Amino acid sequence: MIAILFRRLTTALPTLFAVILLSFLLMRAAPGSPFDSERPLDAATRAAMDKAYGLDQPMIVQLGRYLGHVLQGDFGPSLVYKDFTVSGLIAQGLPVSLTLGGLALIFAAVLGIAGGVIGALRPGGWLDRWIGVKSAVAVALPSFVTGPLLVLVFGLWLSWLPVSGLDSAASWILPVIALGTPAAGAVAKLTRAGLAEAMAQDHVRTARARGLSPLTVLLRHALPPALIPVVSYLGPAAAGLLTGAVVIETVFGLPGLGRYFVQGALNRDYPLVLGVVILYAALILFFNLIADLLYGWLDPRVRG
Amino acid sequence: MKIAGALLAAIVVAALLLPPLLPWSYAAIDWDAVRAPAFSPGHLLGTDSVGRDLLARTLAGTRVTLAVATAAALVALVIGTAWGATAGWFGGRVDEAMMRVVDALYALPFMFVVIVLMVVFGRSVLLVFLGIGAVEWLTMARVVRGQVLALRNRPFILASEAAGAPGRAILTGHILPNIASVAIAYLMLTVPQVVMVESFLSFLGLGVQEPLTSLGILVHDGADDMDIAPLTLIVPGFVLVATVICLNRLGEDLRARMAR
Repeated sequence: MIAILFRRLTTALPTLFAVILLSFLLMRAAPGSPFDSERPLDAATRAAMDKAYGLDQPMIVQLGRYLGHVLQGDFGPSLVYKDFTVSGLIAQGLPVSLTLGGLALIFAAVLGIAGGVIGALRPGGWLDRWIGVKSAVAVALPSFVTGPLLVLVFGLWLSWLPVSGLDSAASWILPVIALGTPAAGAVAKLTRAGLAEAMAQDHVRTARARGLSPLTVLLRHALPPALIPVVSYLGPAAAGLLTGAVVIETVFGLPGLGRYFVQGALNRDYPLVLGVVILYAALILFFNLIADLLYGWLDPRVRG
Repeated sequence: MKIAGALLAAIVVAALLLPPLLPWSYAAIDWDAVRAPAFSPGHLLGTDSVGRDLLARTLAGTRVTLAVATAAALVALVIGTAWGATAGWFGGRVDEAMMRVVDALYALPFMFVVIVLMVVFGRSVLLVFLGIGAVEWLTMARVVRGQVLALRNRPFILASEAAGAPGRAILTGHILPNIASVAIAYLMLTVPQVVMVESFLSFLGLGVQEPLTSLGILVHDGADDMDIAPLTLIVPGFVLVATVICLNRLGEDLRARMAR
């Protein structure tokens, strides 16, 4: 377990460092300076400004300072949202994004695992095939298509659910469905494939031979090993949900990180974009690490 | 399988051949028919909020989306095959180091890296597909490496090595032809992924730019106008989802056949 943790950290930490380095270099390579405006500054003012912000220092010193600030959670001031620091904007947006992503993950896991199990009850039956088709379709449903469609049907035509903002708990329903659907399809496919493999194994056959009911065999003996591939999907799923959340927050007008990210990207607000990217990278690496550890815990063969 | 192939072929053929036969081009504005409903004269699927023919725009967008996806998938094929084959062929330390790089890149938030590139270097179609191609090669590299590793110790490879054939000749003459089928199957599976990424970027306004159009842009425009003209959202959305499902289905089928 410690060995896995150590091996993963030796990959994850350099990756995170590479992201920060890359972000820093891109920010410096970007054309234009934060002080460019319609009225050009005279040389003396410009030099004073550069000095005040440390831009006259050698690149390596600047990098060291940026790293130091990032490690303290300070990503500098936002260029577009005046009077806000990037860290302040992140602190505002992160809880919304994490709630959205977490709810979507739960939605995907519950629906996906249930779908996989129901399909495996009668392999090859009409329900199994129907769920198979549905999950293949769900995987291909991008949240930027389902989001607006859900708004159209349930918000505008039927007026059942709120479509924008965060006024009540019901505001979460449509965004979570739109975001979680592709992941639910993927989980259903993985669960179903894992169950098919597990059902052929000796310990499951033994359990069946002991005369246990099919449902008990499925849930108690076949499901735990079948969930291992689902757990290793957690890392990519987290990445997918964070990416999808960018669109969902824009479509549904939720005040999360993704919306700041898109606004920052469109307005060339470098500190904001890079701060959010570094945070996303850290989150994704964290979820990959968790998935690896869970994997080792669930499957004794990996611990080796 | 057959249905998926037929539907995909129909979409591709329509996108390539149909536009010149339509009365309106995808960028032309029909001032007399703004937000025309479906089946109006000259506009089979109606028009958008500025009077542009929806059918012509969807076909043009499909063409751009598929072109970007194919180009990016080919970039991924070239980089991935070269990287994977090199790692698998040399093995040992080289393999270890090269695959560590792939692992590290896998953990990166792709989409965000592409978006940062877009923000810093401006938005262009070229950059969109270079950026996507450069991050989609990882799976290809892993698959190719595995294949090369398995081939490495097969008798016919060992025989040509013993006969004194140079490494490059063995790679191009024996290894590449043998991994071609699997690489093509994964190429088929890369295309729908790129379609999704491109549409996602274009939806956010960070991908393909007007006056060019793509399915992502059309879905975005349709979403803005859906309360008045729902078809402008439904038609491009349907084409996008159908294309991705068909490509996934065909790719998985091809992979299953190749694995046999």
